[in-house]
Amino acid sequence: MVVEAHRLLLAALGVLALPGWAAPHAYVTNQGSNDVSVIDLASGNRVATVAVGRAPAGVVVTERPRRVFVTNPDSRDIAVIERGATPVEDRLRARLPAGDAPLGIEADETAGRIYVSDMIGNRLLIFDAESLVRVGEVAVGRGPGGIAVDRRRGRIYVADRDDDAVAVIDAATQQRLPDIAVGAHPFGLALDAANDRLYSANVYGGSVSVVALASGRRLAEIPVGNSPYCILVHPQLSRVYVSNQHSDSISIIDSVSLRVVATVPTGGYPEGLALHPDGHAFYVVNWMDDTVSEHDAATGQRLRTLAGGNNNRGFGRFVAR
Amino acid sequence: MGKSNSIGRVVVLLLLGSLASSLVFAHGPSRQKVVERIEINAPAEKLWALVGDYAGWQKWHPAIEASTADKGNELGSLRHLSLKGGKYLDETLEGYDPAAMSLKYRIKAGDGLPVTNYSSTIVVIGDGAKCAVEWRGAFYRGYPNNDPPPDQNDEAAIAAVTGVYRLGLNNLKAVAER
Repeated sequence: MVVEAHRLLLAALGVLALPGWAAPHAYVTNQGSNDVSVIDLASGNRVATVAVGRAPAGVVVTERPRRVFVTNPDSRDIAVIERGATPVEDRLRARLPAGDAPLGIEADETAGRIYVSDMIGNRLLIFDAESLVRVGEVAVGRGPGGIAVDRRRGRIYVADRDDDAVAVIDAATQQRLPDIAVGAHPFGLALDAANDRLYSANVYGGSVSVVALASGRRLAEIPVGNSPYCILVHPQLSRVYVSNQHSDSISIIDSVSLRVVATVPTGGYPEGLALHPDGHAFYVVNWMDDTVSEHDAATGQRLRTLAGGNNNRGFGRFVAR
Repeated sequence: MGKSNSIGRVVVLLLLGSLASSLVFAHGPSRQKVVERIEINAPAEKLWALVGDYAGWQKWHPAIEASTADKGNELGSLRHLSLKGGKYLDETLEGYDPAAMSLKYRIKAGDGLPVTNYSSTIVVIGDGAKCAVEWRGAFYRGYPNNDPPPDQNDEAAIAAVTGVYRLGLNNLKAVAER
């Protein structure tokens, strides 16, 4: 009890120096150097590098178990990193065969599942997050990319780029449900649990589709920048961030009005997006510049530019508490 | 009736043939980039006059036989590059910023490079008597699936684009410094 109160006080003071209270870190996939950079978000410095498979792209950090899962499309596998007490102790635990070109990856920690989209094999692969056994495979549409998990309905959504649609899978039965039509060439997906919506970044449409999940109806198609890639929902601020890969900018959407309220400059070819655990900032992985930009979550203003890695992508939830 | 069917068939075959090299949106999982930069002993404005003339790159790039652009330096302008040796590239102008001395374009069609989804930015840097020109490209290899043949793999794409940039920048320097 006393120990818990002490920790709460320290958290309130923003002091995260105790062992086991590691400061937040970003796990950024470097497609050009076949490794993952671990960046301390307090100092902004890279503190560790973990070699993974070939051409790593997708990434998801889990707390239970304490791991990082990375897709390696060129070596056709996913890398499982066991997180140590501090990132210097992180170790590659396993590489699991995963179809023809595993790309997108997402986790449902409550269900203990890891979902992987195979962009050439056109399927969703399902792994047990603890045992690492493959427990399912579902054929989806063409060119699957981003994945979102709908815990409320027990469904998994997969963006099928070449079908201009989102595949819908019942997680318990692993059966397909009808597709949801979205804009042109959807890649990144994000679930907005508070508003019970799904957003897709439509790369060729230059837009974000907003789908009401209760009705399956498309509420809006919001024009954003050129080649929108990834989407991030801020659970507290009613803000949705979109990386515009060919505009070198972030569009910030107000999720109440569904309007773009700001467009802010970021680095070259921005892709992956993730939120700081305390919600004060979001991070953008800039593929062309090999950097990670830190932006203020409320204003969108760029705060810092952190050194990243070779052809970094960060496609997924790449920030660890 | 028979004649229009066979013409139709020829058209379809031609379209399928060009699809293989030009209109395929599918791409592999691993995007590549090439960044080349050269220092030039000439004022930046002189380089921008050369580089910023979207339809006029044949004046300094040895690989270009002829070039036309339907809207000059206006956004959306489509330029057709006839390359020496018979290949071609059709490229759309997507960004044009005279203040920043940079322009951005994307390949829409053509067999001139073993790449897909290629976009590029060229920028003149500096404002004195000397400057630098940086040329950056982002693209995927020519073959979108696994196990590409050697002439359409990642290495071939990178080598081809690097070759185009170095050849062009070296000659741009020579032309500008005359």
